[in-house]
Amino acid sequence: MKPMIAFTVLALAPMAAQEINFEKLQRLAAKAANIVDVNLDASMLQLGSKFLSPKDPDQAKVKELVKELKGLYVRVYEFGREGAYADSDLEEIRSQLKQAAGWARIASVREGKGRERETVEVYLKKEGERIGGLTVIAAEPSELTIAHILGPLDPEKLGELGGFMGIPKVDSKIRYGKTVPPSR
Amino acid sequence: MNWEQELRAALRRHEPPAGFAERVLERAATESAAPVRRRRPWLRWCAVAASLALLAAGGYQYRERRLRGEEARDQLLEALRVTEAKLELVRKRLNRTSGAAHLETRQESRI
Amino acid sequence: MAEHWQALAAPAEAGREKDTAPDDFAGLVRRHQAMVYSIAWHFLHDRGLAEEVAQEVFLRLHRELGALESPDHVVLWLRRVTCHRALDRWRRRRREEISLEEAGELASAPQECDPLLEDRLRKLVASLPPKWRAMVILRYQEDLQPAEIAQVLNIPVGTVKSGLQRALATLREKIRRSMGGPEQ
Repeated sequence: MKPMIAFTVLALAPMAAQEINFEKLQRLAAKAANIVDVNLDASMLQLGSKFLSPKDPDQAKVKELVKELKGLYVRVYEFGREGAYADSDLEEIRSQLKQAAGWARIASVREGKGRERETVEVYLKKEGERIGGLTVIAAEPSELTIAHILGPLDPEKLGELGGFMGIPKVDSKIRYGKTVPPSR
Repeated sequence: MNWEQELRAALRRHEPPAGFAERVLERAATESAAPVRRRRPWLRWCAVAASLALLAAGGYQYRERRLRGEEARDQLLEALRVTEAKLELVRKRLNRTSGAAHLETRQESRI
Repeated sequence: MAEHWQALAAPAEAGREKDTAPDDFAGLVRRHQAMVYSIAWHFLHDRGLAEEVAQEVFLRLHRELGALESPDHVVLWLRRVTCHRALDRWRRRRREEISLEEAGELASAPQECDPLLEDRLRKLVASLPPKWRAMVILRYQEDLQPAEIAQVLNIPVGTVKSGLQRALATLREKIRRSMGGPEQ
């Protein structure tokens, strides 16, 4: 059996809220050396946030951020080699976002060529004046990451998480979409 | 700084406080010297049944809920860490637009 | 029976267990006390609790020694039970809402490297999520390979590799931030 991160225990939680169906990516799971598979609906997010320590400033910020979230879904597939997935695999995800209401791609960065190419795409869901969701698709030669967050996201709070778990601050340009605005 | 060496040094083994082994041996000897009570199978079954009843009454559920909650919290932290790492990647590349990175901006309201 | 005890007290790991110990339970305690105590200490970051856990582990060893078949088995058993006991103790302590910061200060042991950095590293290790913490302690205190860690913690090797990688990235970033390093 391939070693994998056993985050799937809680994956049985209802997934009705998510706007991306990850089923099509199942075939990639068979090729991956390591997998992170997180499926947290609103009830699991609330349950999990109850166990965040209010004494830890980072965790207190996370608690505040997820208070109103409806879902948090992450897939990371780490492959032992390059070229284990095709762009058509990602197209499945992109087309789902195209069809879902309110989603717009606000940034797409690409680096390298051919097999060395790395791309990261950021999508936001607009709900009136609010941000109603965030999806990040990061395609690296031997790793594919999809993060899908649903629910009202406060850019200020997301920014405050900078440095959380060792990750440097998220730049305000991305947070507020000023450099690459989700124009309507 | 050799990172792994620093970590190894920080986590090197330490002897426990003086007299540790003697304290363990003393407790082990006390346990061994305790009189062995005559077993009463029916009493044991009663105890087991009572424990099961207690578990059913909520202890088990509480523990399960706690474990599920802790798992969910760990997943939540991991998921946010992954998301932030990728957003950070975008930020870095946007800041390097003068370099090799190629940036596309999308102006359309729909994809 | 005498042969059994003799075998159990024989050197378990070349290079790590150098002392000659008498062939009885007392010998096993003296041989492995530093290992058991240090795992608990690095896990809990509290000397008093670490001693309690270490004592409980050895008392349980005393009760179950007859079931252990070889010196290697004893070492594996001690590491596994210590990790589990330390985790239980950590969870109980958290329920009692005694924070890491409130725990006793570390008594300083003889240091060869930067004592401030080492102390900071130990605190950061003790603040990692419990699964990662156990992996890091077994890797850097016990010098175990991922496959051996997987055996102790009873999880897939891939999970250990990913966990170690992420734990180290987190530690590296946190120590950089705590030392006032430049933002990357």
